Amino acid sequence: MSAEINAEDLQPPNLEALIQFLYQAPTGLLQIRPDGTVTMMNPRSAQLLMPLARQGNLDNLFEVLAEVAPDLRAMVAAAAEPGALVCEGLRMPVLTPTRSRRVLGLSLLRLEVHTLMGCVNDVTHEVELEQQRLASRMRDASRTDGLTQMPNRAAVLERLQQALERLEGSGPPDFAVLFINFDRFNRVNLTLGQEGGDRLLRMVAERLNSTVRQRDAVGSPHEALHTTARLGGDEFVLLLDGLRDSEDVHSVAQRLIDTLSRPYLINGTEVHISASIGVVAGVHTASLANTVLQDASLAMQEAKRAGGGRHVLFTPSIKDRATRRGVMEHELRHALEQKELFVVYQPIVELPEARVAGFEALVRWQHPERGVVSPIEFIEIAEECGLIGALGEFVLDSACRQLMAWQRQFGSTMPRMISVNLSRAQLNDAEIAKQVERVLHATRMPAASLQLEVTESMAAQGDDIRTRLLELKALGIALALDDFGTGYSSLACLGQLPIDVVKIDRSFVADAETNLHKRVLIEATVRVARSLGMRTTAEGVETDGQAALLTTLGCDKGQGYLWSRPMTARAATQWLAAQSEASRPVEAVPASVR
Amino acid sequence: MNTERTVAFADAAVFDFLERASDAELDGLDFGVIGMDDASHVTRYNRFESVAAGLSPERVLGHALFTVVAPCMNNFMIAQRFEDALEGGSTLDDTIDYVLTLRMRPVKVKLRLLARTGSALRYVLVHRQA
Repeated sequence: MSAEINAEDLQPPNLEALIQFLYQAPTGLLQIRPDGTVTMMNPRSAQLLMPLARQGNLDNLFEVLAEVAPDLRAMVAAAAEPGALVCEGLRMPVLTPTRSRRVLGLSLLRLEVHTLMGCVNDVTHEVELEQQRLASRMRDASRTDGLTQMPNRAAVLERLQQALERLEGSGPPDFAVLFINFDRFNRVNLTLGQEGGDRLLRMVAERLNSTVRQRDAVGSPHEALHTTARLGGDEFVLLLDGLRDSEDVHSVAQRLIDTLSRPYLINGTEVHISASIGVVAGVHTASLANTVLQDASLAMQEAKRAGGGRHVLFTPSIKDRATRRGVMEHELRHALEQKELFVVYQPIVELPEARVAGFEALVRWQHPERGVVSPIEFIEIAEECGLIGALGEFVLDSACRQLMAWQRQFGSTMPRMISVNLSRAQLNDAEIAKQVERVLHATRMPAASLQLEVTESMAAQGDDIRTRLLELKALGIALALDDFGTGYSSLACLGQLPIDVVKIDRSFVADAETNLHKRVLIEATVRVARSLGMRTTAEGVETDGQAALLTTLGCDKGQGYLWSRPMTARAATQWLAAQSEASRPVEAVPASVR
Repeated sequence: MNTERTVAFADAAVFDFLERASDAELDGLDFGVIGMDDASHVTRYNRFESVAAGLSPERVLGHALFTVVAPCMNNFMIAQRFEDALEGGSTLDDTIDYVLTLRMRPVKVKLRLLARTGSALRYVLVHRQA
């Protein structure tokens, strides 16, 4: 046996001591029956509950708390089992006689069938602290990007506004805003999935932060406050504060582009992606933070249009162009609705006899004020504003219907096929093959009668584009490589593309008769194409001499003003009727349709 | 012959009665009387209150009312009122609805709080309602 035990210590406290203990407890204790009748209550409980008691009556807890905890009776009934917790820390607002707002917390436990034990506390201070913590968390959350933990749009706008206010018209700003966006980022999400895309964005954020930490602004009179922020998606902003001179911003932008375009290792795969940056700096800085960001975004879009992977400094002319594009976008939407768009057809003929082989369908816009608008002006805008899908489908559908109408009128070889251009954005659309299939089905046109034209710069773009092309070919249609010779792909690359026809660009045809070099190139193209099982079509043929030369060089088909300009459907029908009637090789364009 | 004087809980002249009443006279009342000095120590405690509260006079007399005997009165509604009256040298005569929790039993009561300058004692009268 160890130490002596004091016998008194082992005695249970007597009843009086227990009552005193409960009586003096600095926490509210009470006992009730299931009907709410209070059977025991210590002074602290009474003190806390008295402000709620009408005429000082604390006989029944449910009645006392009827207004602040109206469901308590039902909660007690629901917690019928001994040991069941009725509520824990149930919050109840109380207005004390001194008009101060307090919050009480109530916990109730069913001890036995007929007895419940309660505990009441003043939790006002706790609630206040909680609310303060919540408010501060909300403040942080509303200013932080959840994915990267960078400041978000609201935070960077605030910082930018502070920088603008600091200037107050005292000369050009000593800060610059860089709007960063990745080129074709959606492809990353498509190949890596959402999760991979998010990982990439976090890695981008780290690189951005580490690049900026290298301090590009020294010798500034105030502490440099560079801010990197994520606006959303793959849009980031860098606010460079306290720049020495405008030279700095160009070197920072270039360094960012270099850093951000280094490969990223994600799930064991190297991901290559380039960034475009729009810069606002110097005299053309707007006075409102929102406008500055918009201007930087416009400059970024210019950088993208110029091919991406570069930076562009904002100038007012960029804004003017953007405004004009905005107007045209609006008008183009209107044009689609109002059917101001229509399709014209240019014949493609067999060489040498000039028998009609088919037509190339080309879209035109009959603008109510400006007359006919060239597709060069509006296709790019349609691509940017997402109208290209509707526009492309309209052209394809019109062309297919027209070919079927001609074949019904003139026979199945008058003409045999129709050729339709695919834009870059259409080819980027994963649904393009389905769209083409849908149109073929709707117009009941055999796939073999359709030829789709893509430019060489589009066709040479990555595996997913190649997959699209193969999907299209699987429908049974023919693919033509448009404007061959103007892009970067060489003859050596021709064999790697899933194409059937090479269209030789007009710039080669134009001086083929006088320029030996061009003539040799045409001859080589024809020979290589033929060896690969492809056919050739020469574009922009204007003279009999050119037609004769192309025939000599082995070109299969020709297209150009020599035979006809693009014609409206009605004029093309008349032209076909004349061909059909003559049933002999075409010699010239009827004057009526020129 | 019964020569003892008596008074009602709500009687306007109750203070004067209490100042002159003998212990026996206090014990004859049908409401509780607690008298205390400037230090809030209980100096008078009548039979009615002792029985109703279940506290013997020995446990109460000489002890601090608000901290030892009845902490359920140690708040802004009661203790603070006496303190304010003492500090301001003002008269206190107020009747309030209250719930006493002596020995953990919630009991609805009316309390009459009495204090005036020049008096050695201050009183809490307790009227237990049916």
